[in-house]
Amino acid sequence: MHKHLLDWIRKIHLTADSEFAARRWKLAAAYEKKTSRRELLTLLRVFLFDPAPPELIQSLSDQFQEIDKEFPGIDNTEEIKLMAGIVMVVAFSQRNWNADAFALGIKAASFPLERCKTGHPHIILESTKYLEAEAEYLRPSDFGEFESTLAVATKLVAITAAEDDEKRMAAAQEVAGALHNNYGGKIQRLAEETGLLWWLLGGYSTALGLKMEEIEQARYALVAAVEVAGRTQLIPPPPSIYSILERAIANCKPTKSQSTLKSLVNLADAAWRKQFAAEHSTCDCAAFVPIVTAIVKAEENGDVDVMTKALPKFCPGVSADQKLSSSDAAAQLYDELMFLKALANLH
Amino acid sequence: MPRCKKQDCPYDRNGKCIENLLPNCPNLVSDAPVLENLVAAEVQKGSELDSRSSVPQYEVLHSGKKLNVAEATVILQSRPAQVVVLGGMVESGKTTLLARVFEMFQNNCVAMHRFAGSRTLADFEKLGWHATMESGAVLPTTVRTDRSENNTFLHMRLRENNGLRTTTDVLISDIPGEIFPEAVADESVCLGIHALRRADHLVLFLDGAVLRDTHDRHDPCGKVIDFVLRALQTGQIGLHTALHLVISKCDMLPKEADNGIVLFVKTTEKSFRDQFSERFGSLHIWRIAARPVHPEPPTLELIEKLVGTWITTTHQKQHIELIANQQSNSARDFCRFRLKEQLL
Repeated sequence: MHKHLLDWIRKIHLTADSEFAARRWKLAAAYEKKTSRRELLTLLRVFLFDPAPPELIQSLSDQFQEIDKEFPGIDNTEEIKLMAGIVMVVAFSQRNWNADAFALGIKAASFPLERCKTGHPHIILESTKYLEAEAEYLRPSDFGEFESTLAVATKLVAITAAEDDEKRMAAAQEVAGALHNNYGGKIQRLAEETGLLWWLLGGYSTALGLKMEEIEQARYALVAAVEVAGRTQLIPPPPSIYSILERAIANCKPTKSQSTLKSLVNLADAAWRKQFAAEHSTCDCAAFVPIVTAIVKAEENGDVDVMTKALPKFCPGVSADQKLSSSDAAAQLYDELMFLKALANLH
Repeated sequence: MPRCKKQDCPYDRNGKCIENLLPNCPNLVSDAPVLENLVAAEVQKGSELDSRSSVPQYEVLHSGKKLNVAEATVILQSRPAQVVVLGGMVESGKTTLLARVFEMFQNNCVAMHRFAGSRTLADFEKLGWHATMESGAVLPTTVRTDRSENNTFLHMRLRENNGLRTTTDVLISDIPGEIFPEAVADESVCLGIHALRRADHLVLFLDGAVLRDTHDRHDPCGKVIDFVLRALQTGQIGLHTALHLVISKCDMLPKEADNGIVLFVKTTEKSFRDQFSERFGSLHIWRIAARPVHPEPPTLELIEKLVGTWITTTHQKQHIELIANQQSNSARDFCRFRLKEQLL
């Protein structure tokens, strides 16, 4: 159980005790186990957006009641919002795929910053801490212990000594596991570093086929985010990723006028936009990924002006006239892409 | 909602356990599932009947008395609510202010909000009764809050006066004057003030009449500061709270700006601000006269502003501001790339 859980619960249940808190934690843990993409998006929606749709509150309420009969069934909107937060904290404590999706979802949806307001800022802090700790865990300073060559060789010998196919397969899997443990994560980590650093050093946009110094910042911002997201091997991403993006965009030709979301989408290369829209589906999560939605809607309608009208319907609280710098737009689109990647991992 | 099996236990009324065994009293039983089933059955029955007739088939009646902790919890778990806690020494003007606020809502809209209902109407009416001609009182007064009323709440639902139907629930808890110094002296008493942790606003009162007395004024001033320190120490209040210092009965203070008493009040306000402004979400200082004895009008405008703050300001809810890794502990140079520069 989280050490501050009782404090969070006492915001609603003024006299809650640790036994009550433990019951809620148990309920959240049970729910987290059965959380799939659909439930995860429902929890995020209820936790982040006001007012929460009544049908989602009712659905969560029914599901919580299925697990814990004593959970209040009516007049419980605030309680459900808190429970959604507790389910997230349970996931953070278990460091699983759900945790990545929750934390990256909170980050992606908080655009613009005043869009989401929560009565549980400590849970948001937990999410930030999780992202930092997990990013660090995936990228340690050393390469750790390697399984000795003798041990791997012994496992290889076991393949040839196996009596039947089943045993041979089991032995082969052991070897594969040992090799993956020895090299898999480390190679991914190095590939990420090398890919990103060479991209930055090379100063060349692979998507547009142009040198960065030849492209205007506003035209390159969204493309740069996609190029960096494609080179990110491990999620959550490293904390330095925003500096890398900023440095790359700083190499471009400066944009004189103030950019808006609409102008950035409009300026992005048409062929690139078409390909992007074909590769990204946001049917169930449009509200969490405003820039992705803006690009997709602009491409679907073939008109940025239609997107301007449609965007607030898909992403309440977001306007296409939102002013933002090229590097902020790139950072936001990058966060959205990381969230989509985390959602894809749930399958 | 838990209730006590013992018939003579006051838990159901004020949240206190007769055997002092909270929170693990074995006599507490939960009747929530039973109640919820009953309510669900009623709702289903009601909706069946509603389809035939538009007349409501049942009405929930409230006693009109102050809410206990359990009843306040029902409101808190159902919708966003503002919680206001009033504290101060005996007769420092807490109840008088509440009576005035209720009167103002009866007469007009206050701070762009209209009164839209209350579950504690009877107790709200009772607050102002002794200030009315009908009560037969010689001077307008208010009845002191009894210590048994600790951890009880007055409730108001307010509707924005802008044509929209947005409502805000306000729960007001008045710490009885007798409990206040006990909370300063004893941490467990302070922790027993359940509303504090959830308070959007903590409003502390200093009696203007007492501040005139050069001998007696130091004790209440010290108590107010000590109370804040105590509650900060227990972690019940902090950056999530808006702190208010109300100098009540300000009609009793001299009018001359260079008067010693006025200077003392100014010094007190300044030291309060210096000491606490960094430690709370916001800090407000008010001088009000809710029911002035001297022949001058009450400070209605200021009271309206104060109430407006209660309704609209909260530091419990925050915009999500995700802070990038400010002090990078990253092990790899790659992860630390330009982080410090970003901070600058």
